[in-house]
Amino acid sequence: MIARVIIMKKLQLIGISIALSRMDSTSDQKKYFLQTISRYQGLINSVCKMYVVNKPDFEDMRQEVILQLWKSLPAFRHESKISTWIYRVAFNTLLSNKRDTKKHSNYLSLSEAEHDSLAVPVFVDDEIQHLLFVISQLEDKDKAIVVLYLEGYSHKEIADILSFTTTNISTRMNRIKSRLKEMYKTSQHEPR
Amino acid sequence: MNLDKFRPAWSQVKAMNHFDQLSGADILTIIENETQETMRFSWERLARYTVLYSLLLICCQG
Repeated sequence: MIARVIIMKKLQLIGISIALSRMDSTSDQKKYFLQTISRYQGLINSVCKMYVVNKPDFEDMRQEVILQLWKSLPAFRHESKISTWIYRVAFNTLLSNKRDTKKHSNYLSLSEAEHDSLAVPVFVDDEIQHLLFVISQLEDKDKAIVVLYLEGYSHKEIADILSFTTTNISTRMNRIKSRLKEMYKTSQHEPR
Repeated sequence: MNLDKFRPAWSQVKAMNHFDQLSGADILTIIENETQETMRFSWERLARYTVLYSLLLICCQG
């Protein structure tokens, strides 16, 4: 009987120490997560803004991405760069979110789109305006490919991040480049 | 069309968007609910395993 009581006490102590160590690790994780998000907020904001037209949607998307990053943090084994992990989670969240939105056929009226719009401020550099215009003309998946390409990832790495095949990425990249070439030609012929 | 020429512009876009910062408190609010859910689940799991382990110990001791 006494042995059982001692065993039960020991088990209780083990339980408490496990719980306390979990709490410690959670607060450490939170601290690390806050630092990471603050450091990469520019990246997260830029990626989210590519997929939405107004501020409330942007805030929802950003919240969703941050939540998914938090959920997937325990699985992150630091085998890749933090930025790669953020891109992977962010693009997967945004693309699946966009798929769901399309399923519910969410048509945005012009007034809705203009309300709290995320339009590029007029004072920004021409090159930035040009880039943002180019990105806005692309399909959702192609936006992700172009951004990852601009970040300097190889086709194989982009394929790995977006769960595509390397051939698929190469084909899409060629298609994007020829589409942009066409677009560029047309815009050069248009009167300004 | 050469996309490489947009690389500096993309870096500038990121730098520009860095100013639209969420505060630490905002981020904590976003993740707090999720953490509470996870913790609740952990306590349940811990209790379940403790009961199973105690039963196993009691049975094995005869």
